Amino acid sequence: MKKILSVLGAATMLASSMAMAADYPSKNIQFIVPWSAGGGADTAVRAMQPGLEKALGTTIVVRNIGGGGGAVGFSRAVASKPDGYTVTIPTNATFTLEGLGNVAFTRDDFEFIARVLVEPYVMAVRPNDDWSDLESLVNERKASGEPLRMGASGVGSSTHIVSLMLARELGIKMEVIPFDSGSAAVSAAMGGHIDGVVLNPSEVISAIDGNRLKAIVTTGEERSGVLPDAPTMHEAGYDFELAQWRGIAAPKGLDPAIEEQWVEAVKQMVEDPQFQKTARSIGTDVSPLYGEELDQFVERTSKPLIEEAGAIRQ
Amino acid sequence: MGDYVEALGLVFQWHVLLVIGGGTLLGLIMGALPGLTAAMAIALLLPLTFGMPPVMGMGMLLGTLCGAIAGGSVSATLLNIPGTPSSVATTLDAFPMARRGEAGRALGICIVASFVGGVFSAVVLSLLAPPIADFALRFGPAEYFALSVFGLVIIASVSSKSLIKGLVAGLIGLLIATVGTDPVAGVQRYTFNNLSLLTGVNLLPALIGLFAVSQVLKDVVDYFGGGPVEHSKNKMDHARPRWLETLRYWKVLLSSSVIGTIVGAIPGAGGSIGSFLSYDQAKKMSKTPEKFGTGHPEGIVASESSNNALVGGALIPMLTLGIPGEAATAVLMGGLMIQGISPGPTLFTDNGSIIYGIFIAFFVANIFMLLIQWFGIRMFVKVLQVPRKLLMALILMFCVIGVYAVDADIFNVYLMLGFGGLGYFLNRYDFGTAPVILGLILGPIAESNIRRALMLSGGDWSVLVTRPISLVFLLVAAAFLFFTLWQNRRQTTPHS
Amino acid sequence: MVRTRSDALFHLVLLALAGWFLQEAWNLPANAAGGSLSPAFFPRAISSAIAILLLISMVRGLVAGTLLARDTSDEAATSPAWVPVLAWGAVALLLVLYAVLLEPLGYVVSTALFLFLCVAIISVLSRQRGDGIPMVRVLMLALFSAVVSVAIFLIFSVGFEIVLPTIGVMGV
Repeated sequence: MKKILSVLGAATMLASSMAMAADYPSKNIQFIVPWSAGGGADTAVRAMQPGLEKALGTTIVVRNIGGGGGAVGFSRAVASKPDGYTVTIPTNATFTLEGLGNVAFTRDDFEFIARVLVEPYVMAVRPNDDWSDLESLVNERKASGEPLRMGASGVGSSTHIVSLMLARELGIKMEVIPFDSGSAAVSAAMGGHIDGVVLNPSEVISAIDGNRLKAIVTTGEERSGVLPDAPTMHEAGYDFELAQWRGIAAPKGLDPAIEEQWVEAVKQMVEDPQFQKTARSIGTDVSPLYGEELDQFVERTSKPLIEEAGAIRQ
Repeated sequence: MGDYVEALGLVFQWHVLLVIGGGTLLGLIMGALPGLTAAMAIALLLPLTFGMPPVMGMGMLLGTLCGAIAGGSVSATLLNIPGTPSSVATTLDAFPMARRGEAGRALGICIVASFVGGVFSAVVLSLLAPPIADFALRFGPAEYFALSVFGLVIIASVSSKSLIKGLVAGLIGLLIATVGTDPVAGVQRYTFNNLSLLTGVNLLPALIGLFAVSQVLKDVVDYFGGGPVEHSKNKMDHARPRWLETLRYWKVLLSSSVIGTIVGAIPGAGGSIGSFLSYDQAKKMSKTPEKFGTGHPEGIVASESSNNALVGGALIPMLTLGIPGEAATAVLMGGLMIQGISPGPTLFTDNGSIIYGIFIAFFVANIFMLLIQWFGIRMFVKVLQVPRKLLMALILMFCVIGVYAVDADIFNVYLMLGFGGLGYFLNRYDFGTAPVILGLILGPIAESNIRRALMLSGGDWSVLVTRPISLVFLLVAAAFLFFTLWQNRRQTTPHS
Repeated sequence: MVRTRSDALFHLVLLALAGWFLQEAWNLPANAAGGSLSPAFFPRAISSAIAILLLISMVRGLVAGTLLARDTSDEAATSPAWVPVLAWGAVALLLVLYAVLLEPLGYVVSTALFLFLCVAIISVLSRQRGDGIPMVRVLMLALFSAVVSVAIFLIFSVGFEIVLPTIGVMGV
């Protein structure tokens, strides 16, 4: 009797999940942004919202669950049902939080659906007589042995961690000073209180346009669309590549058919010229990635970030 | 000049004026509700601006910002709910005045002082933005630390009943500010594996708990003790903008507007301390410092003019350097960037008519703020005619959902209730709650910046006195501290 | 009204809290990079300062003779002394329950209950002895609570696009 019941139960569950996939989406979708309104991730979600709504044919409700530097919102997201009605925006913070060890989730608790936007990390310094580009800066610092004092956007943030990685890669001493926000670090650099910053382009673009800071290297695969003059680490002769990214993820266990619908929706959205224009104006590059390639990307990006964040924890 | 004429044409079209007014009204409503911030109001309207020309969109958002700040003062005055940290100083005198049955008068002074402060900062913004921005850049870690020490001295000034108890309250705020991930080394302090505490105690639940919830808890007790207040006795004939009464304090108006604009322009200085600094200096210059904190118009004038001057001040580094000082200007800047306009020095050269249009729109927003409050003041005062037991229940409800809305996190609600209880007892035993807020705001600025400054100097404390701005702040702080102690002594000696 | 014994008690409570914070601060790492201050420095310094100031405040109270003096009660009180305390406790408890039930019951239901009970408790406690409770007023209050909570829900969720907790039945 029990057996029959459990078989029946499993069958109805299977049937209902199939039915679910067939008429998905039948209600509003909740998009959890694990930060307050106004941040980079929030702006990115609000930029994606209209295109996704059109492609999926439903309403997307953006829900800002701030607190804990993303920890609260991501935890809430992975704890919700993997029915496709709750998604969130994965970024490098998803990995650094795991590495810092304050949260219960790992990257395996997410079903990564798509990467949509990327922006590299950029090293920008105050114009100086001693250095004008990456090479002269590295040579000067190596010769003098003085540490380079760079601001990052917060203790344990991905900019903090990438700064430490860059110092090792370039072979120079670097003192990384965490500020309360990216803009606080930029303002300290513009005022000459520190030598420069490691941040994302959108945070330094005004300072660079105003000739107060100079972008000397970026960490992306390709040059950033908003900083076409700054070479990548590859071009400067280093084997280093790591970019900030924003995409869409659901809790683990998402029905593949629903995931497929999302991938199609993202593919439609990124074709929209309006979306491309908005993405550019907020300083990011549209660079979609799905499926197998996305999993490789997550693996490649998360490993070093988690290791390095774990080292900070000590 | 041609840019200015073109800019005037961009603003003075009926549909542009209409959306600026609409933004101001929405900001006013959201700002008056506890927990709903200027940043949330602006984020709400942001998508609407995508389809608008830049000046129209920015005008609407600026109206929202001005309205939200003004709305925060309305609830601070009537119900002791400071909508933003910067209206805390307003509660110190406006709420006691409203409790005396002069809510209309208190609001009337608020309206005029806010308008003057706002217009003053708009003038400074359009004439002096670049030099002020350059001055703001001279603030490094050492200067921020000195500024926060200067701010902490105000604790002595707002703890009128007992200096020692006031200091204890201030230190409680500083201690609570250390909760969370430490800002420099990333060590967890007092977080107990609670995710919501990783980034520290959120300021809004603390603010609303310490002021609004504790006040209602006190009102519940007073309700049975006969109660010192009867709201319905509020004199409606006072409920209009109090031009003469406010302009009589022109010195306070001017100095507070200057302080508000400059402190507002220093990004991340906790713009909120601007109104405290103004309140403090008004008290020091006043012939009747003992009246501050009892419902004295001078206190309201100082806090409110400075409070609204902060808005124009905060726009200075955002527009000229692309550096937003706090959440609301950060959302505003996001709005500009989505329009394809990158803030910074190039904005002035490439988009002259747009930047001047923004300046003019900011003026217009201040005028709308004045007009809407002028017509609304009688309606605001009528809120107090709601029967007291209903009003108490409604305030508590708004506090709970407002704080829940901040981060959609129920933990913040518990935090608010804890602060409500703490605030009730702190007030009951004369420790006071304003010092706690000062400690909470200034603690993180003081700690993270002194640690950064010492990191940069390699452990050498002399940076604090070798850098001129830092030295001046520390000297003035010391002088103010002695002056306050002397003023307190002079006030208390005749009685004892 | 002078409350002096409870003032002493409050000092002791704060002192205990400061002591607890201080003790916790000893577990924090006390070494700092680059000659700066350690993460433990501020918590230790601040909690010590609180403890010292509280002790000074208590000693001053003792010297002035006010600290342990008997509480004088308020002559003008119109109701027995326990009523305000009970009301305070009831409202505080109600607030905690409201917070606990906000997410499980959804905004509309929990708010309607809170408004109703909060006003009802204050009314019942403040009524004169022998007064009846008119049914009409109870119904009016129930209606008021329901209408306000639905109206605020609509304003917040539709007007301000703020997501409030719901139980998923009929959109509330």
